[in-house]
Formats: sequence, structure tokens, C-alpha cells
Amino acid sequence: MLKQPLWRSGEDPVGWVRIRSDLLHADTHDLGTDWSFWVTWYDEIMQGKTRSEWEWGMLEAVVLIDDEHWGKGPSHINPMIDLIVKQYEALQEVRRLKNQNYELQEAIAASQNRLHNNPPEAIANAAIPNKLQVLWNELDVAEVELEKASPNPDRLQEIAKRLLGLAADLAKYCGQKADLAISKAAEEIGTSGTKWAIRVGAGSLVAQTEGAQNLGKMLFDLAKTLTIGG
Amino acid sequence: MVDTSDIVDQESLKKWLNAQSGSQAPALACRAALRVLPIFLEWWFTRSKTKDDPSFFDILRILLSSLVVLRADDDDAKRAAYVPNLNGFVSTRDDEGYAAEAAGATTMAVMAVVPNAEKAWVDKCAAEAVFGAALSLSFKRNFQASCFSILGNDQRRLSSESL
Repeated sequence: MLKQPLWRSGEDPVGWVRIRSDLLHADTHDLGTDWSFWVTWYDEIMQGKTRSEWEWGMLEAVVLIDDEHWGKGPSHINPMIDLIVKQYEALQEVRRLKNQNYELQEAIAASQNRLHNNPPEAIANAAIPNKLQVLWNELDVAEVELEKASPNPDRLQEIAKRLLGLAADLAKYCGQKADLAISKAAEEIGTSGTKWAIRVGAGSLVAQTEGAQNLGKMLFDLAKTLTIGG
Repeated sequence: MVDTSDIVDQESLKKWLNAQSGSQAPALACRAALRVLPIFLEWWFTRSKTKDDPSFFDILRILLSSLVVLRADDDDAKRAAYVPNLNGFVSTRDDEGYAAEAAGATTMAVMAVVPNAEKAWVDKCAAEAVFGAALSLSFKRNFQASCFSILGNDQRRLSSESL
């Protein structure tokens, strides 16, 4: 029953659309704090969204914030929730990239095994698997840090810098600018001389590069929020 | 034996819930309370003079906790940790008007998921929550229509679906 949309046929008899607008422009009500978590949460309930395991884990972490903090009101607790959301989202991104990285390394290894006569492009691209391995190691480090109850902002910043550096290196291999657009890069990859099977569904080198870049930004953002929150 | 079509008020809903083998009450109560949450929020925006009033947050927290508890298959000890301390909560909800009813419905919805509660008590709380929600909504329309809105499509699901 709880997996169904809250009302039939998208009805909104209680005026949620108006209330959500008030929450998102909370200054009107002297509630000057970010309400986006609660708005998203209720939007998803209205829609009957099916949540993934990690999203339930995130909600559980919010519920388990100490009573002492809840008692201090929205302007105290909402930033704490924001931190939890950012941490879970970053952790989820790390795990997604690790899966992608694994698939890509497997595909590259299989592809290189097929090139018994070592054509020039295979030799030229030999460094890419090494870079992917370095990225894998970095993702491991990020995962360990993000699984902690209180990640260290300085450590997150260091990981973020290394990830952005790696993303820039990988971008060079793709013959692209550092700020990649997946579709454009995917179109051009076939003409860049990189002929081994670089694309494996979502696990392409380009997607991995962009993922590392996005994750770097997420970690910077989380580190900044952690630093502000003290 | 109470048929879902016989549910017309709090008592008949309680009877119907009591007659069910499993406890469907918590999900029903939680869903009813969630439906009228915006009414409570609107009331709070209009009435509250205090920035950062923690009591406002109790409702949001309680509903979020309810969903987590209802979904969890953890043991009772762990589930208990999800449920906020409700001591004194009900007695502070004595404001007049539909929003107070919405808050009451919400509170009861959550109380209905407290671990180890007896089924009869849970069913009673749920019935109060559902009809509290209907009463809250009735300030926007007539009570009969509100009861149907809050309970209508869920009644049909209750008779054919497991939770």
C-alpha cells in the first residue's frame, strides 16, 4: 500500500504544490533554511516512488540522528540532513563508478588479448589500464572515507583533487577537453585512433572519466559543507 | 464479519481491522497521516510565530520514522530505535482546527507502529489516525467526501492486497 502514489491519478486535494513552493521559498515564512530534502521526500511519497536500498539506508541514517539534535529545530537539523544526503550520494557514486571501472578493465583486457600482433594503437594505449587501476585504487580510498560516520573534510579534498587530476589525464586519452560531454565524446571516440573495444554499455572510458570528474566535484562540495558545519 | 463497504466511521474501521489476521493498520494509518501532512504544514506556516519551532519538526520526523519502521524487517530492538520519543507529544497537540487534527492523526499513525504493541491497540490508534486525517481534510470539503478520499481507494486495496 505504501508503494502506491498517495492519491489517485495525480490528484492533489491538499494543495501540496502550493505548500512545496512555500517551503522552497522559505524566507517568506521566516524559515530561512534549506527544505529541499523534505520537499523531495514528500514529492516521492506523492508519486509512490520505489526507493533503492541505499536510499532507504540514507533515510534510516536521518531517522537515527540523535534526539538532542532534532530538538533544536529546522535550522539546526536540515544542514545535518543535507550532509547525510551528500555523503550517501557520493558513496553511491563511488560504488557505481567501481562497477563501471571493473567492467571497463575487463573489456580492455579481453580486447587486448585479441590483438596478438600488437598493432600500434594497442601499444599506445597500454597506459590506460594503468590509469584505470589508479582510479580504482582512489575509489577504494574514497569509499573507505565515505563509509565513516564522520568523514574527514581534508582527506575528502585530497581525494577530490586526485580524482580531478585522473579525470584530466583520462580525458587527454579520449582526445577531449577536460569538461566532457558523454554523447559528444562517444561520437568522436571512434575517430581518435582508439580502436579497441573501449565502450561497454555505460562502462565506457568516457563515462568513467566524466564520473571521476563529477565525483571529485561532489567530494569537494561535501568537504566544504563539512567544514562549514564544523 | 465486517466488509470493507461497511466501513463508515472509526468504530467500523476498528472492527474491520480487528477482524484481519495480519496487522494492516500501521500502513493504513501512516498513509492517511501522510495524505494530510500538507494541511498541517499550511496551518503551521500561518499560525506559528516562532522560527525554528521544534514541535513542527516532530511531525516530519515522526512520519519519516514511520516509513522507515514500516519498511524495516529488523528486530524489535532496532526498530524501536527508529521511533522518536513521543512522551508528552500528544498532550501538547491541543490547538483547535483542522491542522491540529492532522497533527493528531499523524501522531497516532506513528504510535501505531511502536514495536510490541498489541494488535487491538494498534488497530484502535490506526482507526483514530485515519478518521483524524479525514476530519482534517473535511475542512476543505464535506466529511463524507473526505472519508472517502482518505480511505476510499485504500479500502479496495486492503481487501485484495497484502501490505
